[in-house]
Amino acid sequence: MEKLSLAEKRPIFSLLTTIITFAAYYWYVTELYIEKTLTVQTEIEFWSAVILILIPVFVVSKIILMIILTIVNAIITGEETRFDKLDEFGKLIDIKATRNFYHVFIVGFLLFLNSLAFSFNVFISFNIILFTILISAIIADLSEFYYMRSGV
Amino acid sequence: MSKNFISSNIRVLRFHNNEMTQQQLADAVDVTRQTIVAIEKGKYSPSLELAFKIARIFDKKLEEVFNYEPLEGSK
Repeated sequence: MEKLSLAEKRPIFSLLTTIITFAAYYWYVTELYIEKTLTVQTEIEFWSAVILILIPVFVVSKIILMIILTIVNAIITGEETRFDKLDEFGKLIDIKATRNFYHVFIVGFLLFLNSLAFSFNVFISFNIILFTILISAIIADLSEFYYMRSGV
Repeated sequence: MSKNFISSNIRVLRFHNNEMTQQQLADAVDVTRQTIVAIEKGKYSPSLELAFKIARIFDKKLEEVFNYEPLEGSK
């Protein structure tokens, strides 16, 4: 198997960060959820807050990942490669990966709306949207890796 | 995946240019090494600006560095 380049390792590290961050965050949120006694109204508020907080958590974890990768790479190779810097090839890949993210997210969002329209189980509905965000992020990272390997 | 019809002689030109590395060429035209790898393998067609930059590094004309080879029936 061909050795992975640094640019190809980036989406792999990003994928691992996404999964680890989500798992840790979801475990923390579930613990909180079990402890609380919620009415339908407060449960909606709780899960809405969970989703709103998840977005900056993902952003911060990705920023920390880029900083760590840049530092580790500088220590190993002695080169100052910025992992967040994209050239025209990187930007094209980023656009295509983001497009795939939105395609998956739209499907999940429609499932979320359907669950609200037909059953209105708050826990299931909001978990659908939470896992939609996770799966979309995974698809984006895998797409980036795929396009990096196979070209665009 | 769209088929790229652009091929290049970058690998050969690098070799004849003091065995320039992919990283050195990437730094010279301000892209990542991965982009040079993708262009050399024919997996990515560079923008016109990048193509001109690469040709200028080797002091060649654009058509001496890049070739356009469409399949039969396509133009």
